[in-house]
Amino acid sequence: MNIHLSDDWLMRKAKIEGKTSVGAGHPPIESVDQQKPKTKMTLPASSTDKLVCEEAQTLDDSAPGIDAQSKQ
Amino acid sequence: MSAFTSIKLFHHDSSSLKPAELYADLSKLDVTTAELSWQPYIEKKIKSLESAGTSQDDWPEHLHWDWSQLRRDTQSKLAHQWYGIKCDGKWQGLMVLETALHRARIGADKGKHLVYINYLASAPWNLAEFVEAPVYGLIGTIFVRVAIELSFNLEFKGRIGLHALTQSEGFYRDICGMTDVGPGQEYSQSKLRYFEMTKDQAEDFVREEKQ
Repeated sequence: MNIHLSDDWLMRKAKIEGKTSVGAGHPPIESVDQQKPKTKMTLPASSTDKLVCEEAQTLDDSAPGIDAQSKQ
Repeated sequence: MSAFTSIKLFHHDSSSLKPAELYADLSKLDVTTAELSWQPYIEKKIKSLESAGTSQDDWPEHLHWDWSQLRRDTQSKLAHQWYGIKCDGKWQGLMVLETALHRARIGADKGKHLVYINYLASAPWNLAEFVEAPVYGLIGTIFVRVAIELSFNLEFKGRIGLHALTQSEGFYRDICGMTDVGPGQEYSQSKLRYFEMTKDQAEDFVREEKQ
């Protein structure tokens, strides 16, 4: 990235900025939850050797079958 | 860590500009190094807030940020770009940009892509809420300029957006000339306000460089 900032501009900005606090962001945990699709891995009761991975609207521990949850 | 761009920071004590470097594509080691050097100041601040009985709701938001975790969360995502400013051999600031998920909310370009500043922080020794005499200034201004430049490069016409930390709202509104759009809706538990820079505001910000 080529950025050429003149000393004049930087000094003007520095005078305006003073010792004002800078910072931006958002709650990390919530953002990670938003970006990762929620998936649910289910081992059907009728099968012991087949894993089914499906996208789930909600994660419901009370669903039948042996469930394993993953954030991936 | 990739090749750097030469920039300058404002040294408060001498009221002069000091040479610094802007790096892109920070490595895990870069982020961990920054975090470790910042940690003592953050821990000291947390202890002082605890002894003063300040409610955690009133603590600066960035006290809780886990930069190494953020680096892991974003390492496989092409839409995230890490930047850092180094001076005196120390990381003076970090910024994470996101270029795919967010859209403009205001102005004629509403709904179009923008560069979203996911995280931006200056080292605690540069912030008045951590130390009596902050060392360097212009970190925020230069990072905002970098975000605008990336927005131009991606043909987003300079549009950028961010959620400002409460103590930094004045910086984005009054110094950067961004629009205070209001409380961020997507982070419902947060009190952070969303700020956006339109195409025209970005052009004004850049035009000032040539005056």
